[in-house]
Amino acid sequence: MHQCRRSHHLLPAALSLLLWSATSSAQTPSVRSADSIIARALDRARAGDTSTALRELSLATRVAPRYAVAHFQRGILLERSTSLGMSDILRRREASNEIKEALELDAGNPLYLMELGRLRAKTPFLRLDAERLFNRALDAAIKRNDARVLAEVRWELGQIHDRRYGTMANRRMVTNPGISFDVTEAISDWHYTADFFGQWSQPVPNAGELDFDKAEELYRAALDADSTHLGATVGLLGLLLEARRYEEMISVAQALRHAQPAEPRLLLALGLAYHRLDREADAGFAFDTAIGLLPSAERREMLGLERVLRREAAAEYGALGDTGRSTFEALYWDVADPLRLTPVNEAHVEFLARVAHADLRFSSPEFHMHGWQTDRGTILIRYGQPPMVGTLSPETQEIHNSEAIARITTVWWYPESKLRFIFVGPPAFDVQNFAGDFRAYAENARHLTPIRFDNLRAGLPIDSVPVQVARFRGDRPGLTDVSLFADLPAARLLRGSDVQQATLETGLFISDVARHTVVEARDSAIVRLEKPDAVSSRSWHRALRPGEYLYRVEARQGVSGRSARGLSAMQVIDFPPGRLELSDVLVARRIAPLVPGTTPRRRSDLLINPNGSLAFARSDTMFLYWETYGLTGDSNRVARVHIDLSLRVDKIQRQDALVVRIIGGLLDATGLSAKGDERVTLSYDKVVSLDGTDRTVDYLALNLGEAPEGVYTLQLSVKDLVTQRTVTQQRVVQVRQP
Amino acid sequence: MTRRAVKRALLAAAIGATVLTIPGSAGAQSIGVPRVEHRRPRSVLYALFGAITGAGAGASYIFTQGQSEPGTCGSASCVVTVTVGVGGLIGYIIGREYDQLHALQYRGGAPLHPPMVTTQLAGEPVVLAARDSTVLVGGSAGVQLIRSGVGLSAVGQRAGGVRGIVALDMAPSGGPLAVGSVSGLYLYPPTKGPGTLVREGNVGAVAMSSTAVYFGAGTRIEVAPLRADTTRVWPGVELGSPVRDLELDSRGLLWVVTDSQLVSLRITGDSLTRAGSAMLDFTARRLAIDGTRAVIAAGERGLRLFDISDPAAPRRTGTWTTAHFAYDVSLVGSRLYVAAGPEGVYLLDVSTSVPTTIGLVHELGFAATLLSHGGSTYVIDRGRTNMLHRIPSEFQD
Repeated sequence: MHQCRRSHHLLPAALSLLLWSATSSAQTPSVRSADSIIARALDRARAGDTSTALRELSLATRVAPRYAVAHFQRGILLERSTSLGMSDILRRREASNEIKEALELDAGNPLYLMELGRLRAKTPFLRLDAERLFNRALDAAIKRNDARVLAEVRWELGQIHDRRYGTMANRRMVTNPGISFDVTEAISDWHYTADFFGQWSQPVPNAGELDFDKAEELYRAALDADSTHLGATVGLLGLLLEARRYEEMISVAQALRHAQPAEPRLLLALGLAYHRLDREADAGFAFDTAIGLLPSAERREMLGLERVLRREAAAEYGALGDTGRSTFEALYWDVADPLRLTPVNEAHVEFLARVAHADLRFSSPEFHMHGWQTDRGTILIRYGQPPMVGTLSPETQEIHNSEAIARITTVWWYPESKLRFIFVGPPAFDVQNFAGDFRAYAENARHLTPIRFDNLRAGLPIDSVPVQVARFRGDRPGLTDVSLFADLPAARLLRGSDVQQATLETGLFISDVARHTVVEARDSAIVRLEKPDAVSSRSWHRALRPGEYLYRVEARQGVSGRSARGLSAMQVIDFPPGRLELSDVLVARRIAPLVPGTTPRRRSDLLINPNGSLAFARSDTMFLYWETYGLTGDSNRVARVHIDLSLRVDKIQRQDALVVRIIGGLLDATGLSAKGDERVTLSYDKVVSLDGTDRTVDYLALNLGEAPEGVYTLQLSVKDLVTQRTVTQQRVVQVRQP
Repeated sequence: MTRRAVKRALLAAAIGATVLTIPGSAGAQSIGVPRVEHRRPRSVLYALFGAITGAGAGASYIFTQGQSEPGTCGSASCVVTVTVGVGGLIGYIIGREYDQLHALQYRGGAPLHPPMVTTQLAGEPVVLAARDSTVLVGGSAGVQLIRSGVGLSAVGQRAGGVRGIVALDMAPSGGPLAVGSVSGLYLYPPTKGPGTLVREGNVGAVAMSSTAVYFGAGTRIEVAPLRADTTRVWPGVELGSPVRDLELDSRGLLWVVTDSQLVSLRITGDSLTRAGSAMLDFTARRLAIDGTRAVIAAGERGLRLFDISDPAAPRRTGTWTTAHFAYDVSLVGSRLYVAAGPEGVYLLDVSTSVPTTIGLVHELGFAATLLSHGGSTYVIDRGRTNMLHRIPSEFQD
């Protein structure tokens, strides 16, 4: 696209030159005739009919053989339809002859010199000569004070130095004589790459510094001449990014926005710079604006999720229509969002920043490649900026090493994930591809880990929040009361923060299957260093319609930004009226009647201190609460139930006898004890007076005694002795070290 | 004849080298006037070195292979001419690269080489403050306390775990420490103990007197007593655009730069009143005050100098735009230090209304933040490894 835009950018220049020439020689009938033919040819070229355009331009050169513009236009059209390499050599030669003819007729024309330089740059072996021609064009443009050509030729020269810098940047020198980098070894053993950086190579300080400085000067000078020059904008911002000069990136991008108000690339770069400076809200705004300015086809290609999905999933995603695609993307980024409490989706912003980074540094106008389409761009988007980068000079000794001979080798190393990627490419070109079998290695890595946000985790550490969900029959038909109890790790969140108090933000977010938010509750409290646990237990109660939901419970400490999150799917079940049903068993640290001595008839009659983590220490007392619905009463409206409660060991950490004793809560059962090696079972009958309701509430307290540390399944069964129907519920609880 | 040719080549190379190593006539020049650089072109030096090396290689070839070998260039004179020529050319090309790099690096001023003391910093440092012999460096690793004596030595750390520290100051005479961050303003007891959140919000600028802390919270300037221990919005004034930096001057006035203006504030009781202002046509980054002079670092727009002798009407007196980007600025009498990122630190003479570039200290790395205090200027080098450098503020090169 750069190339495409560059062509569009040059077209007005060429046309203006055409008009200037036409005006200056308007008296000559042959020139007037040639001008009309050229105009026709350019129309054909714009319509994509290059061959007709070329025929018309040939005619123009015959009609006015001494007319430089006709030769130049033909040459430039020939040049634009060739690409770097040996395949178009005859066409390039023809183009070169035409532009040279134009130069003979209009000696020292900077535009002609520049195009001749571009032609050289596309020709193997003559590529080195391009710089000389660009310098001649630069001198000529300065003499003629032609700002547009000046900007264009400075950009071309800047690119030459930028590419040279890319060849030299992050250069490492192998310290072990006789050793060259072995790509195969790098695939099979991650230690090899680790050792390359750690032991047997040294960074070469300031490598490429001169070319960096020259490229920067040239890009800046290009923008001084023409502040709308996109190529120079992208080049300069890319260099500033490379040097981590983010403040300067912001300043440059903001200054250029007046000249390029609708340029999405500029805004993407601005968003990237904000993101690097942790100004996430600004970054989010810049990215959103940039996305809005992108043409839809480009947006689809640039920001699509194909690169960060497994191959099969990517194929399915690729087959989706526009609506399905949008829905999938919304779902993907919703799940990926590390924290809904923050104003932006950090994962999405990081993804956009990676795309912008790839665009700025890996796009290749010469090869018509966008940065995000390249091998390096793809890896950057999947795994972020590599913490360790090294380049090695071309191999000259081991001629059998076809990967490295006369090629720059670039090594990317991600120490945390042990991922490594090797790229090779010719010096002074802005393109590099996977070395050896690294394309297959990258595919394998993609299958195992399609995307990673290691860098995000370092800046946004996220702890876990245990959450207990309990579902009860709602007061209104078709609604279920859902209670979520969370144990926020307030002390852990505050750890390491040298402050007396901090703000603890908490939030509950529940979304339905379609990812529509149905519950959003945020609040904040001050947490004090000496009493961090004062705000650690949180409860939310909501009435929801039966269905599938996803809940997120989040907490964020304001001082350090340390955060915690509990995220899971949740099935909200229906409790049809009149049917025997059992609520979830609510596991609590303490349950007691609000008014001592009274018989509780509803949840609200009890003071419940829930246990979000479902974990207890040995000797702790575990309180249980449940509700039974739809019991059938006899003629006196009295129901009779049989209750079985069992505690089974699932995973034990120490072999001890399991001894559990009911110590309270259930009047009928007080004082009963149970013993067993792997399971304790308590059974009892109960008589319930229904008193106009089919809802009965029960609670009891279990002293865990010397129960060994481990994982237990608690099973509760309630049998209606009138109808002989039974309902069951289970909970998994944990006994662990205090 | 052949030996003569070798000798002539060696002699010519040696004479050239001798001529170029005779000390230049310009000796040490005192700071205060622009320095004129007397640097010998490396292209010439390296060309000569290459020629000598080539001559040596040619001579050794002749001695080992004999005076005449079959072939088109087998004679001694041809061998020596070729090796001297090739050596000289290679040396010239390498030297020219160095010359070009030097010209780019020092395009804005001649090289200065002050004596330097350096220490490593943890995390990503952002902001500097100093009182007495203690330098405070704030950043992602909290606030690092560094004793500035013969060397620079780390003596402690405060404000651990506070994210986004962007402003820092310490009250005079061992008073408390104020830390401004994206989450709020924290006051720390002088020696040890956790910080107290006294203001929530994005606090981007802080200045302390012996009785109060002045700070910019968003678009407001507020003042809180040093003993503040509650979190609240404090008395202050609304300035209408984000506060970038603030400084107290010797007259007790508070000077503030926002995105759009330079404002002087008078301290009245426990609050502030506006004394005057000047509109800015650029985005300010940092402010430095010395006497009746104020300098604003304006990023891409360079520096803007103001005469602030009349607080009601600050007057722009000068502009300096040599650096690509002015990150920070510090005034010491008639000397002005400018942190210019990868270019290093510029030293300017501002004794007249037109600032004059004296030179550039390139060795300071990526100079992002600087501060002059107690005869020294401290520079945060945010390069590949984060460092704190100290140079004498009044050094003579």
